[in-house]
Amino acid sequence: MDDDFDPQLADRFGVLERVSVPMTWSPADSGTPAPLPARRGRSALLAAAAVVAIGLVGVAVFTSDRGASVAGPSSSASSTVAPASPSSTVITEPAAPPPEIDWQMVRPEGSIASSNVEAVVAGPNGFVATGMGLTDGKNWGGVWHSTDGVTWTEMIGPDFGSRWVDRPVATTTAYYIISWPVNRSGASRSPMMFRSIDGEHWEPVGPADGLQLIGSAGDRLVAVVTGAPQETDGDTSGPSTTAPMQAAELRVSVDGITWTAAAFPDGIPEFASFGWIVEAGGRSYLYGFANANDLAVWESENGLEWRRLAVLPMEGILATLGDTPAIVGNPGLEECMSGLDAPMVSGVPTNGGATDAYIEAQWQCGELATIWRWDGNDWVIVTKAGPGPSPVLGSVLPFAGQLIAPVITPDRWLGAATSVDGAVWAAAGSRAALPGEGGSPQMAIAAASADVAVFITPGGIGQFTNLLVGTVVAEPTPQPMTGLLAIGESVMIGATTELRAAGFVVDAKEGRGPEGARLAIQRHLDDGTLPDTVVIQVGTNAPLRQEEIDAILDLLVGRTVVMLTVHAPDIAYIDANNELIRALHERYPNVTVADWDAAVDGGSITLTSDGIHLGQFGAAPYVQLIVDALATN
Amino acid sequence: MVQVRTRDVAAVYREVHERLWRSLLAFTGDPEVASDAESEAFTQAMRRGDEIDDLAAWVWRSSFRIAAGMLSSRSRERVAQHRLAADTVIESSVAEFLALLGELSEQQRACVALRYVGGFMPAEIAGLLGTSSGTVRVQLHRAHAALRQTLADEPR
Repeated sequence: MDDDFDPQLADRFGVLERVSVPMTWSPADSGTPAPLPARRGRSALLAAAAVVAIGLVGVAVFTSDRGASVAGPSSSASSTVAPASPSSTVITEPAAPPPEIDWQMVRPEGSIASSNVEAVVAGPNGFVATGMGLTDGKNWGGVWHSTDGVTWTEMIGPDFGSRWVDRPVATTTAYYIISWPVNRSGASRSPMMFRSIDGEHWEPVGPADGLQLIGSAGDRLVAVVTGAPQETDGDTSGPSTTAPMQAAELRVSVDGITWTAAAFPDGIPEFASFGWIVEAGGRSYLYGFANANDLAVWESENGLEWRRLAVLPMEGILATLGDTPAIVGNPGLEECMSGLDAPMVSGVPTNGGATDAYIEAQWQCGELATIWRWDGNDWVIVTKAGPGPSPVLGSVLPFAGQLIAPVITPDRWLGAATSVDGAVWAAAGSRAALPGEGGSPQMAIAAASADVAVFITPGGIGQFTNLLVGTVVAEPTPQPMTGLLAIGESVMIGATTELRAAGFVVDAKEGRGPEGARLAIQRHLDDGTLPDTVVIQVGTNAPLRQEEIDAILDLLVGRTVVMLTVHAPDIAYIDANNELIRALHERYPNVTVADWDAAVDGGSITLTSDGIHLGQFGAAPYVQLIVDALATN
Repeated sequence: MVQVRTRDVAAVYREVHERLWRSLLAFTGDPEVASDAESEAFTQAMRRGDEIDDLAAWVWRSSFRIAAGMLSSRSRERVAQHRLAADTVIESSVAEFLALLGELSEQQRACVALRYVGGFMPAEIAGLLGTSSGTVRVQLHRAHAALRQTLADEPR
C-alpha cells in the first residue's frame, strides 16, 4: 500500500456521497457576497442548537436561501416573478448588473395619438410605425417616424394617407414598406415598394406585386412570394407562430428592386409556409409551418440560404434571448383559461370586455411564460410552467443588455417586464406608477433601438394610443481611484496623522492579523473604495502563512501594493514573517517591499519602550519609508 | 466577451461543484462554511475577468484558502469538534466521520480531503495548497497513521 493512498480510508470517505450537495452559486449571484462576519455570527448562534441535530435520521435536502423567490401579482409599481423550481436552466448573462431602464408612459402628440398603430420597427434612424390613420376621416394608411420614441411625425409625403400600408421592415441600411392604393373592391392593385434611408424621406422604388415583406437579414430585405396580391388582416401585433402564413417561396434584395431567390439546401416541404423573421446573434431565424401542422424554424447567415432547425417544442412567439432565438409561449394557459370559461383570444382582442376578462384570466391562471431557446443544436427549456403570474403577452426583445417584453399589468395597464436571463422576470408598471392617457390596453407591439425601447398599444376612435418608452438610466462616469489606502495593525495606528497628511486613507486596527487585513480589503473592494495603491502592514500579531498573504494579494491583482516588514524584538515568529514578506516581490510583481524591520535595525529610529510601536519619533520615518517605496514604482 | 466568460465560470461550476463542496465539507466539517467558501470563490472568479488562467485550479485553491481562513478565526477548542449548522440535517454516520477527520491537523485534513474526495494526486494537491509534494506526502502519511489508530479504536 502506498503511503499516499489508503484504500480502507478511501472506502470510509464514501459515506460523504450520501450528503446532498446544496446549490451554492449561480451566475446571478455575482454581486456583493454576503458579509462574512455576519454569516459566521449566525452560525455561531446556531452552533448550540446544532448539537441536537446530530443523530437525526435521514438526509434532508439543504434548503438554501439563495434560491429564487416566488411572488404573486401585485398592483404596486414592481413585482418579481420567478420560477418555483430551482432546477430551471439559467442562460448566460452579463457579469455586472445591466443598466437600469426608466419606463415612462407618454401621451404622444399628433395623429399617432388616436390612430390604430399596428406595427413598429427600429432601424437605421430610429423607429417607423405603420397602421391606420384615423384622424383625417379617410381612415387609410398611416406611417410615422420617431428618433426618440416620444415624438412621432406622420409621413404625408408619398401620400400614404391615401393608400393602405403593410407593416414596415428595417434592414441595417433602410426602411421598406409595401403600400397600395385604396380600392373599394377589396383587392390590392399595383402595390409599390417604398424605401427610406432615414425614416423621414420616402420614395417608391418599384412594383411589389406578389410580395410580402417578412423581415430582414442584415442589409438584405426578405420577402415571401404570394400567389396573389393580398391584403393583410391587420393582425400585425408582432411575430407570432399563429399569424397568417404565406406561400413558400422566399426572395431576397438589398434595394427592394432586384430580387434573388433564397435557397433551401435541406429542401422545402411541399406545404411549407412562412411567417416572420427575427435576428439574433448575427443570424436570421425564419419560422413557419413545414406542413399544415409542424412549426419549424429556419436559420440563415445572410438571408440567401436557409437551414431548418430541429422541430419546435411548442407554439409561441419567436423572440430573441440575447444572441439566440427563442420561442415564448404559454402552453398550459389555454387549458386553464377554458377551465375559467374565459374568452380565448390569441390575437388582438376586439372589444374592451373581452380584453378585461382575458387579462383577468391570465393572472388567475398563474402560468409562467415558457421559454425555449436554441442552443445551436436543439431547443433547450429556459423556464418551465409553475406558480406565478404570466405577464408576457408580447414579444421578447434584447435591450440594454437584458431582455424586455411588453406586459399587461393586473390593473389593465401597459407595463414592461425585464429579465437578465429569460428565466426570472420583473414586471414594472401600473396605472399609478405609469399614468398615461391610454384606454384599455390591448396586445402591445414592441421595438427597441440601441438606447430606446417602445411598447405601443393601438389607439382608435375615442381611444388614445398607449406609448411606453424605456430609456437607459445614465450611470455616473466612474471616477478613477487614484487615492491611497493604508491597511495595518497597532503599529500603523501610531502614524495615522502623518499618513493622512501624506494623502492616505488609514484603516488600521489593533491586534489585526492577516485574516482581518484580508477582510478589510474585501470590504473596501465591495464598497468601491479600494484605490489603485494599497500599503499593508501585518505580521506583528501572529505568524503569517503564505496562503493568508496570497489571499490578500489575490484581491489586489493589478494594483500597486507596498508591503511592510514588521519589527518586534524577542517575538519568535517575526523573522519567519519577514522572510515571507521579503520574498513576495518574486511571486507578485506588483508588490514592493518596504523593509521597516531593516530601517529600525539601522539604529536611527526611536520607538516606544516596547520596541514595537511608533511613539512620537517613529511616525515620521515610518511614513518616509512608505513614501520612498511608492516613489520607486 | 463577457458572455463567454460567464459560460466558462458556469461550466467550471457545473463540472466541479459536487466534488468541491464535498471536499470542503470533509475539510471544514461544516456544510455552511463549505457553501460560503465555495460561493465566495466562484463570486471572486466572476470578478477577475480574464486574470485567471486555470479557472478550475484557481477555484479549488481559493475555496480551500477561504475555508481555511474561516476556520482559523474560530476558538481552538472547536477545531476538534466539527459543528453542524442547524439548517442542514446530516445523518449520524456522516457526522461521526466528519468528527473523526476533525482529529487531524488542518493541513492533514486538507490533504486527505483533496486526496480522497477531490481525487487529486499529491503533486496536484501541493499546487493547490501552495506547498511541496514532499510535504503533502508526509501529511498524508501522518493522517493515515492517525486515522488508522482512531478507526481501530472505534467501537463496532
